Amino acid sequence: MSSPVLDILWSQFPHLESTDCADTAAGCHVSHACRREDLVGISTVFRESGYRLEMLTCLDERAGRKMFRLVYHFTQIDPVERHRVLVDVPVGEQAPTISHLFESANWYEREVYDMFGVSFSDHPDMTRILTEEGADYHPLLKDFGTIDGPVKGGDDA
Amino acid sequence: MPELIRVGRDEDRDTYHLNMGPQHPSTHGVLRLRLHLKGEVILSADPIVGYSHRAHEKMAENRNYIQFLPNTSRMDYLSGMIYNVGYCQAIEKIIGLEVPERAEYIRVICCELNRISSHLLWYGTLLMDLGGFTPFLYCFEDRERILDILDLVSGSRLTYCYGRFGGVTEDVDDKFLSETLAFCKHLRNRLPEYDDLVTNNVIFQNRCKGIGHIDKKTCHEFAVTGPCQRAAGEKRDVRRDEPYGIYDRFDFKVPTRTGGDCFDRFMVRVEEISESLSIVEQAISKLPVGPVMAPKVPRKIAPAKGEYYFAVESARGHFGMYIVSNGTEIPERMHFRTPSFSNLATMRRVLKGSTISDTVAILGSIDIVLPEIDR
Repeated sequence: MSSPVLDILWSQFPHLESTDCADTAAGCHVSHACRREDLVGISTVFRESGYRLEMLTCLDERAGRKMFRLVYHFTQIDPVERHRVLVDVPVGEQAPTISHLFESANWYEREVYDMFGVSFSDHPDMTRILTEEGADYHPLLKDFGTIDGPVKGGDDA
Repeated sequence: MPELIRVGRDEDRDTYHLNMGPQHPSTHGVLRLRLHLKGEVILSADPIVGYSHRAHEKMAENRNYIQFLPNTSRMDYLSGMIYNVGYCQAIEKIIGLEVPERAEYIRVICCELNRISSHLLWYGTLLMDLGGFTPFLYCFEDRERILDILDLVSGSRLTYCYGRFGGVTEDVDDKFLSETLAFCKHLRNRLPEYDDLVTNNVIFQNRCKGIGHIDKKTCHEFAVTGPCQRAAGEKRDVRRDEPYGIYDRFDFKVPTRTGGDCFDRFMVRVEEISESLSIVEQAISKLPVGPVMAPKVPRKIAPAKGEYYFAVESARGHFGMYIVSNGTEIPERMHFRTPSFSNLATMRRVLKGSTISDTVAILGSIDIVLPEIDR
């Protein structure tokens, strides 16, 4: 996998760990593990290279790695080239916002905050988006639980 | 005192806040728009979503991959077939499952019929929002035939669960094929009538032209996809750019316009109806005989540990599924990147400066489905 944006990223961010996923089912061309302090810089490179922020979500890995992990998809649309950027956020700490770089990040970051409680510093409106105002829970946390527990099925039914 | 009746300082004495929705009929579901107005002009608009949040992503973490199948079509209930089949295709790609040719063609036929039915519903309701009741009846009459056809094979009218990992549940019969062909012919004859009634109607044109511009720059910043993006002049379509299933075997155009206003979005969808009809006809003419399920589908679906992403083109744009597997039968995490979520976010910018009456047209023209935004 070669791409002009990769050369810029690698020259500016020596700590970036990139994996070529182009021929796998991963659905992205390159996956990058990025330090939290590099996120804004990397996003700026993607923005200036004409990429859009297609998706942002979060994984609750508190049980194993004691971390939240943010998953960004930066995509170039013509030709399609998708970069997945993974950023670790320690429990209780904030991630930097990139909503000043990508308008779409505004709602995506609010969704992550709503679902996981991971907040973004300097976000213009860090409020809940899908659950109600004043809620005291973050439903996609692994310890939030469900009413009935896992659905039974298959051989267990 | 509540915001609504507060009289401000002199300079903003003329301004006020208005809640449009969540019960407003033109919001197509439960969407609330918090508008800040001066007279009839919108100073700022803030869409408030979440009223139909059912936590599908949470549900996905509590059941196995097969059990999640019925959830998919309940996210976007207007293009449920596309979501359902798209989810199957995602899992098939992850576990490397081959789908029989006949099933691939049947999937394309059903998905495109579903896309037409979604566009027809949008067509009718947009016109109804604008005050034209007759087109709504035309559209629903035609849409009803699609629902009947899909009901024949899937047993559902709206929330389809027709796809399976490795194929589809039922083979199609001659009745399905003849009725589909008859419908295609019928709708082709009907489209000129639609044009006479609506597209060439000067009242309709005046209501839609020149309002609600979503330009290329806005599309880019907000990650807008689907007909809204194509109306702005960007020829992007997942079926063409990242072909999935067998879409690379069909000859179809990706309609685009350049202005990005309400009328352009309208025209793009109208042209898409014709293109989908043509895909359906091509698929029926090439439909091979054979099985509709893969011979060996694993009883337990447990993808290898890892992260996967798969996207399809729904009636509203780029629908992406981000699936994280921990190697067991229960997914670690599923995230759905739904098109309307990003498309609706543009309203904060697009509605600024327009009037309330135009808001109805603009909101109608971007074709949002709230349960898909809220998930």
